[in-house]
Amino acid sequence: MFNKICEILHKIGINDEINKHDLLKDNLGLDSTEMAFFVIEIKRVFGVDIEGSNCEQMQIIKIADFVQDRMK
Amino acid sequence: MQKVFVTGVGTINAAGSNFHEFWRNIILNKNCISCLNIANPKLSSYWGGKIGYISPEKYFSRRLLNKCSRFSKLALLAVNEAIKHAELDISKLDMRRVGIFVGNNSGGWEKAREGLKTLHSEGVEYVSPYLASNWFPAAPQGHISLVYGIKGYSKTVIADRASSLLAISHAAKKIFNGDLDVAIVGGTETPLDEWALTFYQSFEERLNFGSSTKYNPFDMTRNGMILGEGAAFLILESAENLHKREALQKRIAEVKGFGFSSPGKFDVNFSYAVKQCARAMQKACDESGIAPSEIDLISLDGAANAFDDAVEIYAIQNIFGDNATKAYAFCPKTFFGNTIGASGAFDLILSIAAMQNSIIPCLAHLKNVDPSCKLNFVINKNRKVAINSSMVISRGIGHVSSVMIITK
Repeated sequence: MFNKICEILHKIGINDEINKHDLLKDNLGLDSTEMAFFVIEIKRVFGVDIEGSNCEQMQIIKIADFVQDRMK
Repeated sequence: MQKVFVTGVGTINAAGSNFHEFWRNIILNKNCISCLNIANPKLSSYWGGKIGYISPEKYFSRRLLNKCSRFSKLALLAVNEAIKHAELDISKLDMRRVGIFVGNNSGGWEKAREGLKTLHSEGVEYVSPYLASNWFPAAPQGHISLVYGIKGYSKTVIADRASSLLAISHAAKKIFNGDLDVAIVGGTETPLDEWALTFYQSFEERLNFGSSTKYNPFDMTRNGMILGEGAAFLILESAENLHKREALQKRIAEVKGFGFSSPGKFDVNFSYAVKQCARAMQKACDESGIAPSEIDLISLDGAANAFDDAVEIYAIQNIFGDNATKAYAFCPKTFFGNTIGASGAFDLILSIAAMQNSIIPCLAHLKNVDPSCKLNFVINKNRKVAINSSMVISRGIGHVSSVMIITK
């Protein structure tokens, strides 16, 4: 799941190495439109709704866990 | 009052991916109009000045480019080249005194079209959020501002083919008045998208939707404009800024004056349209302090329909009098298509190149000149002649006119 989340981030154009504990805004610098894009892609790829404002403060591994959990 | 100089240019269009290539093809009189591969049968026979492969990722991050429509990408490439040509070190400028001025007419419709398709096929929740900042005409201004950190007064102008000259005039006035030191100015347009073409097709009588590959204004066989895509940008600087950065040798032209006119109504008769166009020319002459008899070269708008061609010619004859057939007249956009909102910036750059190289590209397609169009057209072959001043004319729908005068 982590790798699939990373694929979405690569699609946004994040070329740097992505750490499991990175925060989308503080560490990867996603702006508001990129955050919205990320949320849409989560919905499109996994069929899972996630709030952008929640994502900002979550580590990527936590987002992966959240998505995994909701898919069950 | 500050003098305003051009110190750099950058272009991308069907005739070249940079200014050097563009000018070489224009001098070779190469027709860069090609057939467009569009699935829509109504547009399938359309010809245009289409750019081939572009590689903005060589200079800009994929993260930025993901957010850009094609017209922003073209603008970024042209701006990048213009800044390099001017040898301008952006990091040394007070960015509060640097502005960006862009002419555009159609916006980035290919992204809007994608957004509409997603809206109706998948639903509103799947429409790309990038649409919020990439389809509208001011998007390139925003993207360029973000890349270079521009903080000064900036503007995007939408006035059909008159857009970019009007945008450049706004910038020149800001520098002239001492409000800005440097301005990145020009125009960008991608009208060959299926949706944008459909929009332009509503003015079908103005466009060449036939099988002709020739865009030939002022010719008896003319058949409307052929559109082209592209971006053209220039760097404008104050004399003071050039002194400060010890770059006086970078001057390639001086912006002397500008005139604009709008008739205030859509349907006008011939004589009223001529008067309005002439008014813009006269204003440009008055502002620049240059008499029509002193102008060596006229860059024509070239709408390629009988009414608008005649309006342009009669307006020139009204203002220039006997000198109308003395100044050379050219219209090199016929080689790469009319780029609408960017056409004035291309024409300005080609006038500068003609002045710098003492070569006027010919109107290669002009074989049977309309007898009512009496000007000193450069036909058959390029003319080698010294040029010290040029009047650039851009006109638009609703008979708006932008006219700029520049000197060497």
